[in-house]
Amino acid sequence: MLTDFEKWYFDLRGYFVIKGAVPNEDIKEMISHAESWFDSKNILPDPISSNFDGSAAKLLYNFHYVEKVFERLVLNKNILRFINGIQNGNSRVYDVLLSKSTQQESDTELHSGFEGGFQEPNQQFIIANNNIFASFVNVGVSLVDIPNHLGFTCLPGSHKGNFKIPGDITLYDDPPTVVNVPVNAGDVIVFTPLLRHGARAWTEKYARYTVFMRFIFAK
Amino acid sequence: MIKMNQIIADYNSLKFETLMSEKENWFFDTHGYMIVKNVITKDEANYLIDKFESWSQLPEEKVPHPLKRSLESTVFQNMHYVDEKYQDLILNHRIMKYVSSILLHNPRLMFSSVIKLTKDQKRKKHPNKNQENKLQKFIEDGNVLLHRDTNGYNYPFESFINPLIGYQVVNGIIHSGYVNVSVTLVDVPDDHGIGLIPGSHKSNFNTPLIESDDPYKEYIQSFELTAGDAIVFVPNLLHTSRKWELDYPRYTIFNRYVFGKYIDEGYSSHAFEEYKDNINDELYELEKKNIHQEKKIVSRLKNIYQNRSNNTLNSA
Repeated sequence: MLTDFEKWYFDLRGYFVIKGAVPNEDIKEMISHAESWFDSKNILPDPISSNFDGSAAKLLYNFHYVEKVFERLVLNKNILRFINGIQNGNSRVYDVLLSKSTQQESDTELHSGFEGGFQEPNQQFIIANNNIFASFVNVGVSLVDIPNHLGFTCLPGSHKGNFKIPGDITLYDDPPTVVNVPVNAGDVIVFTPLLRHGARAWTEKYARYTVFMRFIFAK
Repeated sequence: MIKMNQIIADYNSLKFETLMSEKENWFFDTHGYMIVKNVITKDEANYLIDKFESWSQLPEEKVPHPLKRSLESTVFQNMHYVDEKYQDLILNHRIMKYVSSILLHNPRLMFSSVIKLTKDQKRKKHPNKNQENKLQKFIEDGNVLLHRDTNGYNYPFESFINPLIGYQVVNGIIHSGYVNVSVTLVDVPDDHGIGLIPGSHKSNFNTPLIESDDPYKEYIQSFELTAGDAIVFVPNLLHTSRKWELDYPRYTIFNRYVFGKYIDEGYSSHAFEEYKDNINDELYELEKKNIHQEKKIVSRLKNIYQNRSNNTLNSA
């Protein structure tokens, strides 16, 4: 279900950007709900729960049970085509969360990255029969435009590494070792959690809203 | 109880130890290349350029053997049989540290060439007319033609590991059957020179047609280099040479090293027996297939880098 280019790119880099996967009107509606919920402090509709204790972002959960626009996002065909293409048509949504970062939040430190050896079955990235299979896939849907120097940052190719990742590589290093991935509102970043990744501290005056979803192999 | 075991000769790489650091291993494995800065000085680079130009001026019958000159005097091969400074560069320990490690301490020089490129120079035509027409049509619109270096054979899928060339890592040991080394003799701005796609040496899929508004920004990495800098890279990495638009010519030395246990592949420029006295023993041996003992250059490298490593450990 993936094109030759999509397979080649995802294998090479460990992530893929689906441009304009989510309609503008849905993005606007999601931002409106997000602003309302993050401003409402403790009064959140059931079954939404929150975690505002993290240093990098404030988080909300279960909102796709409350507003149809988020349900539509989880079932977005542009996203599911890609995910099912990686998971052999057996995807299961595992986690959905809405993240808000402002200038007050810190960066999300680089984490993950494959360093050789056995792959954990729950986080496999393997190739066979000219196809990719990844048992765990992350999806980040940006609800705002991200400037070129901010947002999702990763070490391309680090999902296929064979050696210990040097500890002195930071979020702010230069390409080709470290790249940040420019996206606009409605763009989707699909990436394997084996990719070493993080996010640079948000410096814009407007908040960064991102919906993160995790898909696992349903079998 | 009857025991069974296999016989393995002790000249194999069973006790292999890389000369590369853990960090260098990670970088090379991830990106497929390594930049080695200042392997020669600018003065030394200028000397090598002067030699190139002096050979260019010679009438054909005066070109010293076995130096090989292209028709337009844009490419020379076998310079190391004629000039000692070219020899030194092939044997440079800061380059050979990587080459020997990647070749499992079985390095063999396959060829050495130096190439001159000017901004108005025409591309060398492909010998096959149909292929040439296709290539010309593709690049005339500014499209980018990438390639991997092969030994003339393309497998049904790019993910096949060519036993002579392919890149692989087993239990923390990197091996590629070919290692390319390019050394620039002039300063190269970051939008010129070699362009490559980092990580493409480990691609598991055939290279698709890639469409991009700015391929050099989105995909291709090139480098700001000063005269005397080297790039060590695996030939399985997708790479290209960017259009040279500067007023001064580009001079690049291009050396390829191969795994020394292999048979000749039809290239005639490994070693020239009749001129073997022109080169030193270490280089002569480096051009030969491996006999069942460690080559002199490998012993020298181990002395430099393993002793350095041991001294560091002892002083820690």
